[in-house]
Amino acid sequence: MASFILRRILMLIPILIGITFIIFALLYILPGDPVRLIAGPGATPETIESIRHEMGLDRPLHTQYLDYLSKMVVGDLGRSYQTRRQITEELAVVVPKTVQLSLAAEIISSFLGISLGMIAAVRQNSWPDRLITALAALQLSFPAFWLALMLQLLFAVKLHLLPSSGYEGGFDKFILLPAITLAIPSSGILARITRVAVLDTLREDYIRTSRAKGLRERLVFLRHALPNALIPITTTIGLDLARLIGGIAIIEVIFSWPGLGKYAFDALVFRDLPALQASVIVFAIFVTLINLFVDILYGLIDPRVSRAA
Amino acid sequence: MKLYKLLIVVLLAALLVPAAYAADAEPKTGGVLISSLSSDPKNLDPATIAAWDQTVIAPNVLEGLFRMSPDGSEVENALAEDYSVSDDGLVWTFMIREGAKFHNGRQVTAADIKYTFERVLNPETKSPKAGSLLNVVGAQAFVDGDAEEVTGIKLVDEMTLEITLQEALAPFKAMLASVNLAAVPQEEVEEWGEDFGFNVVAAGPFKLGEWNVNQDLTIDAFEEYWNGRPYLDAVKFRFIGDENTRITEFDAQNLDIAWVPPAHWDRFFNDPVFNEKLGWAHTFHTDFIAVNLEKEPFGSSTDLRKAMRYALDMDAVIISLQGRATIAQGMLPAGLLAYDEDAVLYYPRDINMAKDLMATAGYADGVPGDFDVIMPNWGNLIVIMEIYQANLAEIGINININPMDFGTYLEAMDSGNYELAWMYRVPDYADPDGFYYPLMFSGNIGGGGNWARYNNPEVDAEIQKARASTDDAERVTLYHEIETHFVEDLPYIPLTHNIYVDVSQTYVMNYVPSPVDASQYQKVWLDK
Amino acid sequence: MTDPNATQHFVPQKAVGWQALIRNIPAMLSLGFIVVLVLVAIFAPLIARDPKAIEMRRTVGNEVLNPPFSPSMQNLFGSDQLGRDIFSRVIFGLRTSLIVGIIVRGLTMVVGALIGLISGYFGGFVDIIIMRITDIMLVFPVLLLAMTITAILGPGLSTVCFALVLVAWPDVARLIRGQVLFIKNQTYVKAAKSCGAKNSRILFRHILPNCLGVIIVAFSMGIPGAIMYEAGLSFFGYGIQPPMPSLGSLIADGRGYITTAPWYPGFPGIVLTLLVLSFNVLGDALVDSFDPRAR
Repeated sequence: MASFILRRILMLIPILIGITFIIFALLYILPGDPVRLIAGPGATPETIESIRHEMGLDRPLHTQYLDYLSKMVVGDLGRSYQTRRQITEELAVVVPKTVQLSLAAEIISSFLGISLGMIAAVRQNSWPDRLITALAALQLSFPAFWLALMLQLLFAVKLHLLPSSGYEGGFDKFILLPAITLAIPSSGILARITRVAVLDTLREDYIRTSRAKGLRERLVFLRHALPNALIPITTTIGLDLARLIGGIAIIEVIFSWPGLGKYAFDALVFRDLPALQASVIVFAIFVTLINLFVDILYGLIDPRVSRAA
Repeated sequence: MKLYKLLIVVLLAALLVPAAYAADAEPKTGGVLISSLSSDPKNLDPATIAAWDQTVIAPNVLEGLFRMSPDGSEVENALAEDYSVSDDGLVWTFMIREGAKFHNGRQVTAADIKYTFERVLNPETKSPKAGSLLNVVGAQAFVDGDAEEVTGIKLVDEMTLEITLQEALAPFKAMLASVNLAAVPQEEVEEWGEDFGFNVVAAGPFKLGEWNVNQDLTIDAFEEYWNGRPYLDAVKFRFIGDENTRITEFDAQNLDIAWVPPAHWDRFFNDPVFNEKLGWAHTFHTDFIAVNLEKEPFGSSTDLRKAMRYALDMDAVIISLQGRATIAQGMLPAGLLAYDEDAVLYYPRDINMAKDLMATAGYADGVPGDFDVIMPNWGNLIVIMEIYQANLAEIGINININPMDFGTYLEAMDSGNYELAWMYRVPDYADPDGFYYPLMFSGNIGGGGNWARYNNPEVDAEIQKARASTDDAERVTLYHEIETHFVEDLPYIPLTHNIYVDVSQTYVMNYVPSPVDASQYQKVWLDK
Repeated sequence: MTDPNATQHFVPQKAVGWQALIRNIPAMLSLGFIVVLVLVAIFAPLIARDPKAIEMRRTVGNEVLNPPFSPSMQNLFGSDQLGRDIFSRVIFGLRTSLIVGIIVRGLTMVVGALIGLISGYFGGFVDIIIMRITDIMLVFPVLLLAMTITAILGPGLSTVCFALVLVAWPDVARLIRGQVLFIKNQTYVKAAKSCGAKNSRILFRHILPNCLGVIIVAFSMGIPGAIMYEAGLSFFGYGIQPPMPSLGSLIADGRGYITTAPWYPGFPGIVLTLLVLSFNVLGDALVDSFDPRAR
């Protein structure tokens, strides 16, 4: 088991190098000249050249990449073009806010998704099941940015219940709208998976046996079906979190949530390459770590996985 | 047309409103005003300020020898208590104001100004405004590393500074009002190093307070400001990118001032309470379509460019801008020296005239092919461009709208890698030179701002003569001549001058929006 | 207490294949809706008015109105701030969405399936490298990466397609690879191999045809995702460029008008949601009917 975990962690290294390489290669063929943006309108060509040299952007690409990698190993991600501050310092400010938002969203999503999925499974083929299944399909079909606008219109503009955007410290009324927007498609997926997982366990032999022994339906469900269904559900929550983080950037932008996604988006708009590069890498590391965690969890639950690997 | 005229009358009336407020009541001290920016200004080091979100805050925190008055109409003395210019216009002497202090409590001296200017010139500072001081004697040698100091900046005594120019420069005083030349104390710059932009210590009426990255920035009243502390205790700028969100927050009274987006215009304009609280600023912006004169076919045919201007339905554009713009008939906006309502050429929309000009240019059946108009990726602007697109299609000119990231766009403008481009100019200093020198002087082709690549020796000579003259009457005559050339050659097709309109809460008093995107809060107070 | 029907109860004899699909009412409704939308998109120029026709003044009775105009017989979905008919713009936007969705998903299937075939069939070093690359691609935030790519290449129809294929192929490659691994070990493939059949023959005569079912299902299931990502890119200005209307950029343009002219961002969003919903429902039904264990 320990060697399985160790091997999975070691596999992170080539993945990390791959991530940095791909993003580096992509960014440095960007046509926009960051130096031009920094200099602003009306800068002389001499000023632009001197800034370019100052930032080391006139060196060959591979030198820049190796330099970047070696600095990254010691936790130096360079300075932002725009703020000229250490990017690691800036990430320390924005990353926790993204963690807050994704956790809040995942909690709402799990609660909604799992309870709806269970109701649907237990009442299979009844009208609540059909309603929940249909609802799940709808939840998956909203374009996130449009849903965000509609929720803002409803809860902030019409009902005056929640602030339409902003941030004042984390788990307060400001987090609700962005978290709900993120949770709506997520809980749809979770509801479906929960439903199938519970239905599958209900078909297992031991459930049939306990039914045959005359156990009450509710007891069968609580004692046998639920615990077994929880295994696929827990791992799904992990994967769902990874998926949710992939789409968090646009939600942060729409709700002015000052997290990593908004930081990355601003960096993209302003061609702040070091900042954009660092934030995409952090996003990718996040997802990689969650996947690793889910893998390990799987290994713990089902020893066959760790032995096979 | 009637609606448009009515609007103008209303606008002018509204312009007078803030002045009336000021006399109304005794100002109250205290309170926090909540304003907004579209994004985090990132860095407030005066030497490197270039972005809009930075210039909006800058004049409240920073101060140089001069500053612009809140309504943009004149250049006021700031750290300079008085100044004099030699008869040949070359030697400028500045008396530093006794009692003008940095935020760390130290008196500003002449040496600080010298340090500040040399810092801006120093290539290591990477200041985009280094060019504005290159006319000072010895500046080039300093930039090239051939001199330890700028010989043309002399300390006469502790509080007197003397600057010698190579050539007379009429707008020099206006240039010195730029926030990029705001005084900074050497000891603080050196202590903070790379992080100075985040911990700016300067000499403006407010000092930097709490700064939450990507969230908000507060500036606090500076008690020891030479002209008395601001009435407000603080101004908090929240970073909200979406104009619609800003208005929602304004409605919830979580913002005290907000720009009025097109979608909400009718609501505020027709509201008897908020109509009074609309703040109007006829900005010094001129929007235009820049034509790259080195590219065929638009560059080589004046008739074609004129035809384009005649084809544009400017009245429809003004309606779509809800009257918040005036039609630009030339390069200069009203309010600047040499602006003359009667001197500019008037182009009404005239499709027949446009078609005749097309025929003269040899394109009676339209210009074959289609042409990109590059522009920044701003939603409201794209919509306006779609009107121009439809207008030009009527005379057989097909344009593609090509919105770009701002960096890519500027790069294309500077390198001349474009045919047509939407562009705007807001002058660095309130003087006609702020338009003609960058846009039409041949020495500024490329990065200098002459995007059209206009090259006319006659105009060059006139621009230089006007720059060097200290006689306003002579300058006006020269600028009228330049404007005549402009109208004849039309290297830029003028479109509109913006009218900036924001709305403030009923308790916000004495607020005047700035025509150069740099509103000052020093004299604003809250009646609550 | 033995229930004689227990077996039947827990393993329902579910209809499979085309029959099941045809009996699935929501799926058939969705299919019908998609067919209608596709027809509308094809015949857009006949149904819609000029989506670029600007109307800055409209006289109604004695009143001169300025846009945006509210929904009426003249403008079913209302108008935008230049008086352009939103119904017509939605129809042309729908056209863009469908074209992009189908092209992007089609190209993604081709690229993903080829890579998946190679990876699964040849195995070994090639397989390891390809799978590691997909691992890496799958951890990137998709929309952010796609925006970065369109920013690199300049937004527009072809770059949007390129960016979306680039971020979507790994999923398909893994799916096909799994299928290939399964088929490769079937007796008939082994038999063909032992008879000395060429790799290309085995790949394209035996393996590919057996993957077709999976490919078709994956193609249809992936269309709504492609449509959504295109809309997302266009919403943020990194997608389709004006004057070509896209549902995403229509919503972005109308965003500011959400309180004062809710029809403007509202209708394009509703149409987009319904379009994606129909594809999702149909895709689910396809999986249900042809591969019941997949759910």
